[in-house]
Amino acid sequence: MILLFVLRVVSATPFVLVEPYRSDWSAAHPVVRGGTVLVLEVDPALLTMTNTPRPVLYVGEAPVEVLARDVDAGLVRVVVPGALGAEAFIYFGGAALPETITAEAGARELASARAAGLLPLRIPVSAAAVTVLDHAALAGR
Amino acid sequence: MPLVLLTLLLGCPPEPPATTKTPCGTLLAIAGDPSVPVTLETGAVGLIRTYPLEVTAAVDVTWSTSGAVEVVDATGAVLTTVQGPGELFLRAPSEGEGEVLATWGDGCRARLATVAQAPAPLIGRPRTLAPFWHSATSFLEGETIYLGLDAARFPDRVGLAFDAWVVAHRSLAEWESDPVLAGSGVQSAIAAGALVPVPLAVADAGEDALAAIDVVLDFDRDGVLGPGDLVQGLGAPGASVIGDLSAPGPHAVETVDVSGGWFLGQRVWWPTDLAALGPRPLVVISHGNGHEYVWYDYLGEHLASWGFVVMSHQNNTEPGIEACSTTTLSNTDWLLGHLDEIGGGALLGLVDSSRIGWIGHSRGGEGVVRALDRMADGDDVPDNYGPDDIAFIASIAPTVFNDVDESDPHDRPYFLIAGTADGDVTGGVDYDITQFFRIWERATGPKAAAYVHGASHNDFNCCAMQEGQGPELIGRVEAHVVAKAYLLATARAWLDGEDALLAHFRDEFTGFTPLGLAEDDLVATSWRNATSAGDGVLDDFQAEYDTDVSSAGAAVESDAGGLMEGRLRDGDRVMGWTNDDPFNGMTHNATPGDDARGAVFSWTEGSAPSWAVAIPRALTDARPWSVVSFAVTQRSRHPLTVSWGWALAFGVTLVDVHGAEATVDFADQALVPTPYARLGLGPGRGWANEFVTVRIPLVDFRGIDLHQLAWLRLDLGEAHGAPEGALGLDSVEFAR
Repeated sequence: MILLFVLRVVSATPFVLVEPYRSDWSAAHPVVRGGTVLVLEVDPALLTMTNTPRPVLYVGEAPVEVLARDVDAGLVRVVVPGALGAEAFIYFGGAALPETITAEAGARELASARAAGLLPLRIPVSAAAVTVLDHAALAGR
Repeated sequence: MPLVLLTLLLGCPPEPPATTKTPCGTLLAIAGDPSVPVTLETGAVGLIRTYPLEVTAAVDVTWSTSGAVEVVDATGAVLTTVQGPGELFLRAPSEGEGEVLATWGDGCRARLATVAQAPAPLIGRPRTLAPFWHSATSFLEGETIYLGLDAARFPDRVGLAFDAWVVAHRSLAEWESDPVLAGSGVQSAIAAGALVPVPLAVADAGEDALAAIDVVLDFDRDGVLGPGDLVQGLGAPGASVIGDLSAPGPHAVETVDVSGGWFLGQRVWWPTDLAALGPRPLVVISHGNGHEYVWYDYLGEHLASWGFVVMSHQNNTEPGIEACSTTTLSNTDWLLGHLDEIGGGALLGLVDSSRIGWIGHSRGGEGVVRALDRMADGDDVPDNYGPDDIAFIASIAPTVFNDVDESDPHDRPYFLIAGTADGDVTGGVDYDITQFFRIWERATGPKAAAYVHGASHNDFNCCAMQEGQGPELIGRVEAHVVAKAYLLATARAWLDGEDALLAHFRDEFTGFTPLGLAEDDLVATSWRNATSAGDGVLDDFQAEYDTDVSSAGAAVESDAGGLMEGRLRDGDRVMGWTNDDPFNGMTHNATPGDDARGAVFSWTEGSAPSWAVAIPRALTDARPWSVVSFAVTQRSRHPLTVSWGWALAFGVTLVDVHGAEATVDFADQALVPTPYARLGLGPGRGWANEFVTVRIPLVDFRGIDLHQLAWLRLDLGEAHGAPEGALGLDSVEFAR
């Protein structure tokens, strides 16, 4: 496995949703009630979009929803549902469609990444959780 | 009565020759040669397609008939007796031979033989190779429409003068109420011997880029469609003229951007005069991954200018096909539920939710198929429409992530368009997900495909990065011309019932490429009728895998090289040629859920082999069908494909049970394109196989008995256009 590392976590903003939504970004379709919006710095080449499968971005064992990307700057803004500790394994796994990633597949990806030497990244949570109305408002932030 | 009459002299026993005068005197007069059977055409309604007889003698005549002929009066009533003089008519209730027997006076009798046949096209275009004629019912604007009468078909009329008219189509009721031929006819006559094409008119499609026409041969030259005249176009139009479908339509267009929330952003286009048009079909555009919904103005404006309401929406493509199918479903539903809010209510009551077309690009191209499948399986039930309201689906270079049970077009009309230079969903042999013809194979409704040489993936929107790979890229501007023409043709055909526009797929035999495309554009097109259409399959290779038995269980004889049947799948996923992978370059079958199969063979310089299939007993009478149809491709990077290096042709021969043969050569069309000369995936040039569907009118196989056919044969070799070559073959059938 060739690990595709996330370079750093630029920012982390906790949020709470007034109107939860059902995420399309894994086979489990978790309901997102709150979590953390991360801005990550990555290799810009990993942010180009094609219609064939691209490496999936994970935090821990779960794919994360991409809200926005700045390919030129190599920045990507993602949603991590639920609680997030002071550190997390953040990495690009194998090419796939995120909606097809089961919990078992996610666990395998993390195990492979850790076996390949993946280390956790520090999460620089810098503020108290903000209240956001809904999914659209979250994407617009 | 006809201006040109020959007197038919018939009389007392023993039955005399038709032209012998007898003491019984002259009884009948007919227009044609009395020494041969009168030719009739079936489908007579009222007095149209009847044949006039004039009773010249003042006698009581008793009639009897046998076989496929009836004697009727001017009201259409069948006669058994009549008092002369007067006018009677022959009509044919079915195909076949018939006989009319008239008796009168003191034992006088007369017999008239008839032959009834189904109407066949009277018009077409000349060709330079056998049979030097192509019967046609579709013409491009500006093309000359030729009359082509086969003397063998109407032997009794040889030498008769007539006026030929090309007129706007009329319904049967309109012809019956107004049989007058407006305009001016072209005087001509049926020549003995070989068919001689006669120029009739220059085709005019009119403002709608589609005109329906009828053709009348007015044998009594009285300027009226009546008994004895030949007509192409009773009921359905006789032929169609197609204009430039890539040009803007006649309607001004309005557009607005709206949003109903998360992934409900939409751009909507509609004709400014929508209120005058009444409820119009809806076309929905679902973009691909990394694309934007505002990148399809070229298509939205174009379709709206031709009278459609069009909406392009935000598509949630990144999670996958299920997510983007959800946004196709929800955006369609949201628009139909909020017509009062869009454009100030300009669409309210003016969108026909029972006629919806879905067009998707890339992941969106698979998403629209998946969306239909979800509805068809009952997994998703929108509020404002249902699965039966999806009238057609079009996919632009779609992905194929799902298997057949999830991304299934079912029986909906389906159109696939893709580019050979696609650098994203490449269509290459190395990756199942990019092999878009797999979806096409799944569709069981009528389906069309256009594989555009030199078009890239993102040529089909305005703004994504250019990723095209290969020579002679046609660029975004030209790709838009191609897409507009073909997508408008399918939208009008399947949303408005203008089936004639599908001629761009069904009539490719003479290179029926849409107007507006650049002269050097090359598009490999395919057509397949719905599986429920009842086409007569001779060999589709889906059963009986021995090469000497067809899928219908009949014999196959061939001395072509390397004949083999198998899955239409590249065996080693490398485009470079090896002898171990005879289906090199095939991309119609990749996973166990795919089932497309075909055959391959080749021939070398100096040889003249053939591939022939016996026609099974149930299909020997070809009357239910109108064309011989098959799908054929040159084999990518095969040494003989490379050596020949050009578009390819061969001959198609039908053999009847009496041993008579008729061959149609199409080397003047060179229909089977040379594979797109793209590099990659191994040594050599050439990309995925490009099947084209060849459909040859059965009536063009002249001089044989089409009711009793025995063999269909493909004749290969230099005499038929290509001294060497390597082909893939599929779906050999009689089709409508």
